Amino acid sequence: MLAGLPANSGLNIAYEAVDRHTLGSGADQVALRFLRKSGQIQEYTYTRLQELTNRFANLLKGLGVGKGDRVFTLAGRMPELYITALGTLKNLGVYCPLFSAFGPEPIRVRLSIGEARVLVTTKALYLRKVAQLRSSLPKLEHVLIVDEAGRSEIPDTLNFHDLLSKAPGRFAIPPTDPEDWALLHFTSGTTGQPKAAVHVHAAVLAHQVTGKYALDLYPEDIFWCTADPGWVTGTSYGIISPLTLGLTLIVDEEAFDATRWYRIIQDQRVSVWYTAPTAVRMMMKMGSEAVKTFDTGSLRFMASVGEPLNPEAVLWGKEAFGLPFHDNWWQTETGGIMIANYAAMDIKPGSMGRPLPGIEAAIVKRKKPGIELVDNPDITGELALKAGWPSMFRGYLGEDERYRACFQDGWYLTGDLARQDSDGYFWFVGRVDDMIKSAGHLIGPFEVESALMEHPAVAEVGVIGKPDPIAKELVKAFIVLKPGNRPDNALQRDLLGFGRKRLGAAIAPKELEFRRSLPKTRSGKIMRRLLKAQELALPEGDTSTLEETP
Amino acid sequence: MNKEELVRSILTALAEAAPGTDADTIDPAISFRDQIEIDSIDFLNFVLLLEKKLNLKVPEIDYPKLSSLDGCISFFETHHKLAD
Repeated sequence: MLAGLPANSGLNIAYEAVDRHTLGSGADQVALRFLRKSGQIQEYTYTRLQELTNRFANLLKGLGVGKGDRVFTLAGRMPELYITALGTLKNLGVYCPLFSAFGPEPIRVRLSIGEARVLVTTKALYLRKVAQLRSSLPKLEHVLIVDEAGRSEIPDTLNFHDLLSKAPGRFAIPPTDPEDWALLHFTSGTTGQPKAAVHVHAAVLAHQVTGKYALDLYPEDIFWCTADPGWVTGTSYGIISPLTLGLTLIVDEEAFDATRWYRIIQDQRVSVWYTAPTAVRMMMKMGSEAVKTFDTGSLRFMASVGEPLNPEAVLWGKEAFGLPFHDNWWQTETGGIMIANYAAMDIKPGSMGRPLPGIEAAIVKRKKPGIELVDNPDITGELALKAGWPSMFRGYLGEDERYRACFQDGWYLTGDLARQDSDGYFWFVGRVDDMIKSAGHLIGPFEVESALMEHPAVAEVGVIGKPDPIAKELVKAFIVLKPGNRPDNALQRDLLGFGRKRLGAAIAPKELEFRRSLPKTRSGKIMRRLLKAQELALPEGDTSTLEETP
Repeated sequence: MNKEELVRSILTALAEAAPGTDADTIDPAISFRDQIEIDSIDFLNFVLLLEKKLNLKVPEIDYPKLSSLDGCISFFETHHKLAD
């Protein structure tokens, strides 16, 4: 249950996640246990976390940063990120995480759309990706550097720990309206710029309840969420949900490494584990024998999110860990898990599961005007959710029209194609649009195309998701060169490198093919669907098996 | 294959798996991930390319040993007969 702010002064996520636990028996419980790159283990109790987040809230106040101001992080899973997120919420700022594998261009676009006033990052990331952007970001007033080596001497930046240690350790959270803005999470669109989904403090109700129902979390649990903090899962379930339940959260600073992960489960006695399909498939590739050399008996619940987990992977969990993976479904816009194979029900391997209590989901067809609900089972249509759940996004920053376009007749249209079987389970089919799902990240083809168009040799570009056994889809670009450029290996590598430098490894194309021309509509729009059909060697006249146009 | 050729093969595979990588700037002691743009999918491709170039199968359990240049060198030195 939620406590609410003292003296009935509202609802604040950080109070529910941190402060309330310090009043009772949870005060000395470990909230966060960091497994640092150095091999060091760092623990923060709820009391210590309260003090540090108080300091950060005071630090912001001291900089003149207040209610509604956007505070961004560009960092991996380091303690300072968690302190920033929760301290910002205490000060009624709006916290926005950026994925540290983004290249400079996606970073610039997001800082600019989000009107960042403060950015917390590391010295290495700042020098590699942000320093060059400062002149184009006039609203970014304060960059706080976390420097492992000590004091940073980087122009136009402040030292995070210097300021934090000087800030007072007591802070009273101001009255907070549940509808006050709390979080910004970026998501990509099929056209246009990325969108910043706005979430409010009331979302904490959904964070907590879904943690209980879909992840089966209890205060005694040792919970490990492997998601990167740069994405919505890393905030909703990598910070907020588990802390509101007063448990101990394991945070591993390193990237995926199957053997090390098994050792973490063993040594940390992880009881609930929330991970992603790409990681599961990589572990499968290595085989279940490698798991069995470790004692993973502490595990009692495993869940997965990011893209549909194939039935073999669900069952592999049973073979390797003695437990199946419980797949669930949600989006940046939904703020929390909406549909799940939750603990108290039978898993249907390969399905998203059933809506959580309080969530109404349906399959719909878009009509002009309005929508039509599909009543019969096993018909593919667009997945829709009855609007109004607490963690529903409240807008796309500065994009009212795009926000309104997501709703029809009181339903939120998810953009995902699915079907519902006669037992009420939902099954993911694809996207209604050209969005790419790669290693759990939703990638907008437009953002990738725009970056590649800046290369002097490129005349036209179309980007699609190419099916891949590990990552589900890989970003593939089709390029038409300007006259005078030879489509050779050197240029291909140069273009791939160009994409990575701007966009970062996670969203840049992994594959690139030269074409003489690209298929276009009469109005001149590149037909990504047709490119995809060609890639999959489907008959070009029949792309209905791919996606349906809404 | 001598050590120099081995290093060249490793860096070529790295540049193919992660185009845009400047091989000259690689610090051999630091993991690739901490100094260049490379994600887990690129790393997988890097290992597969190395296997092809060196005509050697790397057991999946040993993949993490290949996460830095020094790691690669010592792994292949013990598993690959180098010429003097």
